[in-house]
Amino acid sequence: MKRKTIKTLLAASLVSATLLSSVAAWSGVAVIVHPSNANDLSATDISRIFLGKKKSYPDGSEAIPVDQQDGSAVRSTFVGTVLKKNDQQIKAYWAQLLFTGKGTPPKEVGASADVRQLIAENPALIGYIDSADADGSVKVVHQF
Amino acid sequence: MQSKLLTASIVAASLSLGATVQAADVRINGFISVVGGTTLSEGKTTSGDKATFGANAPTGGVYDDDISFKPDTIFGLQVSSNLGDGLSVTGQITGAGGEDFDANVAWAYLTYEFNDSWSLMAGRQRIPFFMNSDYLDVGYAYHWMRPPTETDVAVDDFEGVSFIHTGYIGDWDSRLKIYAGENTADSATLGPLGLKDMIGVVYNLGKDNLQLRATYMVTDFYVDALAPFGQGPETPVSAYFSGLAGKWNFGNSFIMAEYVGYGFDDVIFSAGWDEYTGGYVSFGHQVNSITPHITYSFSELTTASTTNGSPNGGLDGSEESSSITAGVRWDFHPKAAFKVEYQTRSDDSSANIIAAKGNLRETDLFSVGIDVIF
Repeated sequence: MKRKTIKTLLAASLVSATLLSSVAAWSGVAVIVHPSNANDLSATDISRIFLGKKKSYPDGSEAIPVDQQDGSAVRSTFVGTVLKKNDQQIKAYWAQLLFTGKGTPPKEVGASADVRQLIAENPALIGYIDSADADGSVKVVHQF
Repeated sequence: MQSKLLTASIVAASLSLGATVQAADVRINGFISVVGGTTLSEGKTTSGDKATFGANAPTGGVYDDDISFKPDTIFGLQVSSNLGDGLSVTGQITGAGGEDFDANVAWAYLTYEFNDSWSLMAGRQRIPFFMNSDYLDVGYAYHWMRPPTETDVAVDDFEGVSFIHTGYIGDWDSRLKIYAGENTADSATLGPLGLKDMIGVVYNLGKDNLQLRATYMVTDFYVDALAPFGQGPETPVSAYFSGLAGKWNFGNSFIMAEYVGYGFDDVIFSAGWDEYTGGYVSFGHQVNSITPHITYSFSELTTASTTNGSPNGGLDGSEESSSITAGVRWDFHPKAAFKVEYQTRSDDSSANIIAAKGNLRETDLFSVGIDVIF
């Protein structure tokens, strides 16, 4: 009886942990820059920077986008919402630009925490992270 | 102990990541397409030979009724480096089955960005005839096994300069390319030929998932062997090329279409080439990693007698063909796609041309392939 209760408790906590983590994964995506970056960025500006069409911020300083690793849920959400492409369309898009010398895809730098850490150290970078991972070391310029 | 090691490796990883992001880098990328195919039913020439299927005009890859892996198989290596201050260099070496995998320097050019709007490309680069010309060799970049052969020309690269202006019109991205240069190529039917004093313009307008494109080019065209007939390098024939294209992604579907026309001031002597029009409409719908697609394509080449003789046995007319292509692309891996495709092409040429040449264009082609980028 007791053993069964423990099992049930364990199962319930596993289920709720799974639910919680999936809730966390869908808490939203925040586009972040270095705190010293004072640019006002529209969704179109962000899209152009991440598609390699724009290489500088509105104030003229260099903009370097960084991607999360391939297959991350945050990346798929960002690509779908801001870049308006699905995972395969964005891959074909970069293959087209890469092999025509028109541009190179953003560097991949791991998950939300890695992106946040890099951006906190470099005023040129722009990235996107799980909203739940945003803190005072970076500035959120867009959230969805 | 273990957690210390872990921390150290995470720190090292982040440091090297930081260095990669900031350093000027040399990139090596590559692509490979391995494709096998065979014709299934064929028309016949007047002498009884089976019609073949030309799959790649620039490399001369041709399928017949034996299974072959050569016509569409191609590999390429691209090296590019950003030298900073707006200067970058790009080189691409390709080897195609249609050319027995002889290494060929497809591209070698430098790019200089004057500012956010203007840039210059100088060197050996792709002639932007079609919407898909820039990445013609990279099968991974499109849904077909090969772009419709009805819009395919024997020359693909040129040596020269391009000026590119990029800008915005409201929410639209605007891109203007003006290019000038020359090139030479080997044609399966005419032998060595060339374009010189070529000057062209391409305009692209794009918004979210809609892309529109227009192009126009004028050039002097010559065939080495036609010098005795006044169409050699010293006495070239004026020619033009024009095209309109568009692509629209909606949801997980896309539709793309292209229409091109080109022509010569004088009929090209031995071939009788005069005016050409061709195009296609293609539709695809993606379900997870599977993309079935269907394409209708057509071409019409009017041929004429020349002042020097009659290239088609005294017959003026038009060589026409149309195709339905159905296929499936399966993105089974983040860097690779598997494709199966069936194309059925009919010869719609004028009766006098068929009587003289046979059903040259009537072929069905089945092909299977894998495209990889790395």
